Amino acid sequence: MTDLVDAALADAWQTSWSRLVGLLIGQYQRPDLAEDAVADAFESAARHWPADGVPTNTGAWLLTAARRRVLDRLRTEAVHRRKEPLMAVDDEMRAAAAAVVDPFDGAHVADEQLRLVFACCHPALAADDRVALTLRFVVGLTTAEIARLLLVQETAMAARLTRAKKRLASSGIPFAVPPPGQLDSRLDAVATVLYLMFTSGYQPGSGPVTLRVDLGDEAIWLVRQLSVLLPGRAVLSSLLALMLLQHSRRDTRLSPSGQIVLLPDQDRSRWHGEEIAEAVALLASEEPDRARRAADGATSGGPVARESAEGSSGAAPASQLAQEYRLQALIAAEHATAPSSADTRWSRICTLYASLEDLTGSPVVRLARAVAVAEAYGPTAGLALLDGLDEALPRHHRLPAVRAELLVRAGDPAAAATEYERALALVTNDAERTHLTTRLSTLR
Amino acid sequence: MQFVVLGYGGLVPGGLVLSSADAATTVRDGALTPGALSDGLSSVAVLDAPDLDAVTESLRGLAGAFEVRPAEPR
Repeated sequence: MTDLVDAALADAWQTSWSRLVGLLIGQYQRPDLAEDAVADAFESAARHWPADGVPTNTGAWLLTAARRRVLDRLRTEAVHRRKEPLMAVDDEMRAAAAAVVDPFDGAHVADEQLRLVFACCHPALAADDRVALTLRFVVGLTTAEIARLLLVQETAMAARLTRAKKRLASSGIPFAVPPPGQLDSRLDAVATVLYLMFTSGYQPGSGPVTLRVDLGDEAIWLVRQLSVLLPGRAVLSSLLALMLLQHSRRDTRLSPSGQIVLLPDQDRSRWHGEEIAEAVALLASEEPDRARRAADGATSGGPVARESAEGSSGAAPASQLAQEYRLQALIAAEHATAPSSADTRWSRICTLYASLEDLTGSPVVRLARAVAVAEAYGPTAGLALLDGLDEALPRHHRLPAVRAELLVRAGDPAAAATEYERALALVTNDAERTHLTTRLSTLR
Repeated sequence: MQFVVLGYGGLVPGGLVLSSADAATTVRDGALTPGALSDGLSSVAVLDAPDLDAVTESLRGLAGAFEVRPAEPR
């Protein structure tokens, strides 16, 4: 029975947590209470389910319990304010609860999530806060996981989340999809958080679980829903292409024993070809933009046939974010369509990365570009690009890991070992730690 | 809910236009001094609106800067 309850709780946590929080926020407009209420509901489930049995509809059970917690808190607050009669609060909240359709019939869940994403991306919130709130409320990541994804200290992220939740609760920000005329103003923010949601599935943080493929599926599904809502947006088609290309390799990223399989060693026959084809078609069908002209100008051919440099007249210029996603997708497409690792066109990838770095100025892009340059022009050229990155990426384990790998190739195992040790001190994921430890052991 | 809208150089629709800062009196800890705390404040309104978006929509296209805050019951 205990195993059954544990499994049911784990499943409910994974499938229902963010939905429950989203529903409660949407209903009561109190994000500060919603999280605690859901946590309390799970605690209550852990106490009751072993004795009473696992309910048929765990999500509905948890929602009822969480609603009860919120109502308790609201009543307590009303008492403290000594302003409103308790019954008025009760009646108001009961009416609101009655108006909500049971979300666990499966029909409205996605809309709820999208609504919550748009609410978290309200322009009255600071840009950094929008991303953090969405990753917390919609994706359900822990503070530590969000901090790692956004490259900030956990304490700073905890403070940011507290501040943002307080503002969300107190400033009158509505929890609703904005009217059609205002959707585009939030599109880049929404696209950013959906991509981070996707990315978090492949960098889930500490512990033994290394992939959350379901998060990738969910992010892709949400982008498809957004594309229906807002057709023809370059940022969405580029983002979808990027996600599909990265997601297509999901079955080959880990060995059966859970160890990381690097891209050159992955079994390309097990990549999802239909997703790669859809992504390449998306990239080919996009309207030409500045990024494409810049990126495609240096080389010809490739997975996406180059169109006229003039392009079509009258097309709105793509946002910087759309250009970023397109460049990243073009890089991913080069990998996905190369017949083998040895046949990868690294010089073209270097050109694309250079355009991406010009566009973003991102140290993470520089790190990836260094790897591509090392493949195309040798490890010394790659190492040169890493100079100066330590200050920009002080907690990023991949910087010393990449430097170590390039030092090995450059014939300096002693310096490489030192860098592997630095990487091991920073890494939080078990699979990556195993990979780094294995690499280090080959040097000794 | 209720929102207070402060206009700085702009006129809040349906709000009150404030006299110039020269006409203001500041009361701090019971002590009166001539003049305003903020020279730029030019209008003020208390609006009933369902949410922040409804308030900002009513300010769309207006010149000047506006500060919007929910009014909390006390």
